[in-house]
Amino acid sequence: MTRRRENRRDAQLKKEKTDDGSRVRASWFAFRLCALASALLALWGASEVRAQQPGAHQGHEQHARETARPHYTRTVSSYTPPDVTLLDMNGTRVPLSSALGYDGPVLLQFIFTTCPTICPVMTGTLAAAQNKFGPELEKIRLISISIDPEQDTPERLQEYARKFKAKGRWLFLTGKLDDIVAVQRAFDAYRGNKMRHEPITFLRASPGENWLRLDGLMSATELVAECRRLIAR
Amino acid sequence: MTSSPTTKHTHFSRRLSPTRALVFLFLILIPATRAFVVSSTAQSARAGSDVESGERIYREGILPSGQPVRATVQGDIKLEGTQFNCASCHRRSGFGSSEGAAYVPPISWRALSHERELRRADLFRKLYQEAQPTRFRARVRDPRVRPAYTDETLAAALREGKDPSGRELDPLMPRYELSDGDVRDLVAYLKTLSAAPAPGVDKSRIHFATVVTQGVSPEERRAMLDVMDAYFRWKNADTARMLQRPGVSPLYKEDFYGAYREWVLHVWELKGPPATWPGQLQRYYREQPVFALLSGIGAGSWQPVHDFCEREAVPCLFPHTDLPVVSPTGDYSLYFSKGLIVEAEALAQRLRDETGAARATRIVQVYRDAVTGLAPARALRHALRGDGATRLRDRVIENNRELTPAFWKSLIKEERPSVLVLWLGQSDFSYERIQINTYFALYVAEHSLTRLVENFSREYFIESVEHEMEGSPNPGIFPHLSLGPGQRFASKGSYIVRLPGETKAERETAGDWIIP
Ligand code: HEC
Repeated sequence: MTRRRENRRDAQLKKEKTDDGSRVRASWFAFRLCALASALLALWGASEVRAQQPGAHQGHEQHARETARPHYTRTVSSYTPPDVTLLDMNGTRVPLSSALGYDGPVLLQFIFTTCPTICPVMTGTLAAAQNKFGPELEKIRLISISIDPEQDTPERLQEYARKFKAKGRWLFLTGKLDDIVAVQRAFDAYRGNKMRHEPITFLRASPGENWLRLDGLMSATELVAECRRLIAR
Repeated sequence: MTSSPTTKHTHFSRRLSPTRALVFLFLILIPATRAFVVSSTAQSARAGSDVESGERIYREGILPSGQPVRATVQGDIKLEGTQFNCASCHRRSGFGSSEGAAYVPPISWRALSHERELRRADLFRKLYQEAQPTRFRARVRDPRVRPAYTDETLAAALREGKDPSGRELDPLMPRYELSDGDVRDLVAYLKTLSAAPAPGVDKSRIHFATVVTQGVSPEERRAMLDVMDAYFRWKNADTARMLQRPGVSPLYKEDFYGAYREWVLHVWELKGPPATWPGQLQRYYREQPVFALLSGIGAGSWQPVHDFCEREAVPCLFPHTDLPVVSPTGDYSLYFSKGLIVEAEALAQRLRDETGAARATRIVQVYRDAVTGLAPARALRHALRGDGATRLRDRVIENNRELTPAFWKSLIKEERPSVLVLWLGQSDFSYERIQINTYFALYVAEHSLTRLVENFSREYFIESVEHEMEGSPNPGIFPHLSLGPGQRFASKGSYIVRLPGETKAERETAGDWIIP
């Protein structure tokens, strides 16, 4: 797996680092949680180790801690999706390779229909982006894969798609539980329990190219800009 | 805990119920729209007061004008109340949620009407027991102290995204388009949110009940109650141990002293015809309100118990029943699966899939004139509607008629079925199954309750169960158990099995896990 972090916002980041760093620390002492300190250290240590491990969260975890503010981070990765066949919202079998092999730009998210907080916002971001794209939308494929496939039957996905006014080329996929876990793992998006999943959007310009991974929530304008920049390259 | 509760009854012989397995089982389907209609009539009947209108905005995203509320998130994403509402993020309980990288704070009136205080115990799980991204941990730990809200500052938070200290709220908190009247309604509702203490809990004790209905055998009853007794005894011994020596506080236990309660179990036996059960339940509940019903076992329909739980807003966790209430689902009743109904639906799917079987064949279903036969038979008919259902024939047998070889011979001769479906099974509860599922229900209840710390809200409890379920050790009766917000059945599918026969000694699955 190759991964490259892009620090376009370096200057801004440095500023945030000092602001948020001191705020976190001040609040910490305000607590006077002596007993907790050792647990915290252990935890901190663990995330340190994790950040040093190759792969997984290397870039963006650290980046996120520095900003300590919900905004998104970017990483470029290559992923190897498993050879599985999923179901679309009409109940038609769709090999994942053909969905992802689409000859044009692809935007991919993992969601589930009963997810309360972040999925409506993630899906809402794609829905709003649909409208911002204009004629380019014709070339772009949106894909939302359910990470709660036993609950999210094709009919439920249809209902969900309707709720967010999804247009033509937007694919909503479900499938066998094991296959869905394999897909999430391949994209380093599996967190063991769907209630713990994170807001991530994956973009790629054309088949075979690396994926741009956006961790965090963003505005539709930002997403469209990311996508345009990627396509233009 | 000793492992004895789950092994206690191993001397009972395992009771298989081949008839039921043979035919698998069934469903009552009422279109999903009905749930919606029911809830909206309930709403309009109560419309009028500010609090009710506010509740509707909060839970359904619908304004008193009948229009969906509109809002902007993440700066430029416009969403409507039909897509999400306050309860999606802050949850019905108002205690908020932690999902992925998003931390949604509690907005119960207690939280809003006070300066922001941070309590370690409330955050304990969020901080240490869940793998959360660093970004999330930093956010939770950041107290962002602010003064108590007033009506005016609340309006500013909802419309402009400013808290009383002037801080800009995270863009994930929507900026709402609300009229002054809408804000007034919403604020009136927020003032009631999780404000009243839940019945069944006092300073030292928390009361639970379990239901045993008429028609359950003494052995089945005992299989469940022995496990419950053992669990409660263990739990209380553990609590007593934790409360000893308060000076010593490993594992930060002092932070949780306020949360400890003695668990008290009440066994509610329902006798006589089901029509009299609602009255019996009300009587028990008046005598001693309980925080939740745990486990429970019933022969026949679970509807009266379900209705009681919904009416009184009492969580009802994972009873042993073949006939849970499938439609409309409730807010407070959680089940392992849809029981006979999901089995009927799975069977229909299998029949449909088998190369046009449903079209070309004559399906005959045989059942007794009782709810355990009628309900699955109706479900199968519904699931096969418009797809060969015309060739589905029903044979209803009087309740005390004996099923002799002569009966079957003449049935075959008259009906010439190519598929014979028998809904004659007794309940499929082996004693081990009762024991293991009881243990699991208690395990999930205990862990979910721990998450509440001292916030004994029934809605928060349900939300916590929805959240805990997927991470709980699955005892293996069901291939996969999980819930999510609003999900009411933890196992979603069914296997079709081949019965033990001349060549095979064991039941074996015939085909894939079917999720109808
Ligand atoms: C998409 C999720 C989401 C929805 C929907 C949502 N909120 Fe929030 N809300 C948040 C988040 C996240 C915060 C924390 C923002 C922060 O502290 O920066 C928040 C903060 C608040 C606060 C401030 C709490 C405090 O202690 O300062 C109030 C009040 C509030 N929300 C009320 C509501 C109401 C009422 C609704 C429905 C009309 C609603 N929210 C809908 C996510 C949401």
